[in-house]
Amino acid sequence: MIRDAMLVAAKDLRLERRSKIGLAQVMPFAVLVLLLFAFALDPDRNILRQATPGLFWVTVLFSAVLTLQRSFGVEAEDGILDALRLSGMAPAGIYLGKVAALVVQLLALEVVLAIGVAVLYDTRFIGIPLLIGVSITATLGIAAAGAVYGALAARLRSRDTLLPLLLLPLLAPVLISATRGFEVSLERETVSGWPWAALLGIFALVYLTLGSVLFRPLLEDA
Amino acid sequence: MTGYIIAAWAITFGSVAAYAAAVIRRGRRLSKVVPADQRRWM
Amino acid sequence: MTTTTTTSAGSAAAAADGPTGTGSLGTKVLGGLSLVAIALAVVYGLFISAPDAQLGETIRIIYMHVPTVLAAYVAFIITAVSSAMYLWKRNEFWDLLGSSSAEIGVLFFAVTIIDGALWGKVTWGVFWRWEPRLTTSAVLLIMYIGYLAVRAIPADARTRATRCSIVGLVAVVNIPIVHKAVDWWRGLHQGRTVLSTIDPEMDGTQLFAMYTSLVAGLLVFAWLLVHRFRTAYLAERAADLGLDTALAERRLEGSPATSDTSHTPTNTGAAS
Repeated sequence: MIRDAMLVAAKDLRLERRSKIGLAQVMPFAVLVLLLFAFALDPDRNILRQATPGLFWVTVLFSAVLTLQRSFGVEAEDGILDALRLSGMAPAGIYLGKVAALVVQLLALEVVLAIGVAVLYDTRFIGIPLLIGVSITATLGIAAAGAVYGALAARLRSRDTLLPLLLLPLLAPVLISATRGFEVSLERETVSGWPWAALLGIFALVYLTLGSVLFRPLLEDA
Repeated sequence: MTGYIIAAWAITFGSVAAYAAAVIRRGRRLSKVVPADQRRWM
Repeated sequence: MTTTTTTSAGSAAAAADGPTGTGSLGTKVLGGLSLVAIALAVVYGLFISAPDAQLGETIRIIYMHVPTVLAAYVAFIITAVSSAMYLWKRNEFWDLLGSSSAEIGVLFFAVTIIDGALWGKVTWGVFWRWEPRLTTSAVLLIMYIGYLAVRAIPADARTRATRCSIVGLVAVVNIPIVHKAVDWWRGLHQGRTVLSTIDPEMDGTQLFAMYTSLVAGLLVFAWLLVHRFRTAYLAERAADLGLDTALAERRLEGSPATSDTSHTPTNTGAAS
């Protein structure tokens, strides 16, 4: 199963490296969202600074939806999902492979966004361990849950509107926790941020497990 | 304030009743189309 | 939940010999009990019980807010269990039960939020506050609206059922997580929450009003569920019938008995 996962992950990442959609479209989109927030919230007042953690993670969520639609859309169109299903690879392995590839892409995006907010919103990054802990667990959760719904929506014509509707409410606790975690680590709050990271970790674990179990019926019947 | 209390009870009962009516009506309409021996699970 | 069928002996030919709707002795009993409980709840909730020491008259809104939210959670749990059972047993029963329950759950949840907002308007002066219960409810409501959206996508029975089962399970495990996240986030800063209205030290008539409302809510939910399930079952049979009819017509067209020899065979389009 692990070997299958690595195969799938490698395939996805290779695909991304060749097409460069993430680089050429999703990342510019993410930076664009940062700009839009700046236009909407007026950089001269303190709002942008205070809202940075939230804006960061909202942008990540929107970009994740795009990345997912891309990741699964291509496969659905070319019948790759069916090929994967018939390939004899363990569905859980396929799932974990997709999750792994998504995590890599999303983390790369977050690094770029971090640079973006550092430059555009004048954010100073402190509390690095917590930042990293929160980012990794949140990204794992987003990828784990996203891969399930992404695959489900993949073969549907209404996928572009259905996927956000399904995924974003599901990720509400991730948004809440990740934002609070960032607020703590940027010293906007004085409480401990690690409980938030723990909750994110639980979310990720729950959905990684559930996704692994559900991927077989999902591939076969959905 | 009484207005809000009445509104709450009215909306609650009203929407549940409307939904119930819709379900029952649909059930009756479908029963006409389906042969008698297939109408109930069991 | 009793489901008794009223079939006549033998004759399947006459369409009117079977049940003419989704009612039965069981549902009539359930319905009767519900009405009694509702009547008691109305009398006690609106008239006999005294205004609460803390909440005043607004407790009368809570008498409906609590049963609806409880029924909604019961509904979503039923959907979750049905989803798991469907994926395991692949029996249509579980799919129909789960989707029926989800639909009713969304209705009750929406009503819960409306009642909560009305209570808030009286208590806080605003229809909405980002307090834990309302915020969590908003998220959960949209999650299950998503379930209904997936349900509405035309597909064959097995595909639709699998998709919905997946959504049902993915959504339900998120409920405690959303609760935790929102409680940590909003619970510390807010004053009185909607949940803190349930005080076990309540006055006797208030307690009775609350309990009868709870019972009424659950009875109404059960009654609705039976009817909705039966309607869903009928809808499936009707759809099968539609498919059978279409196939029969096609076969008739292709048979040598038809006089139209220039007829070109057509493909049966996707019937679902």
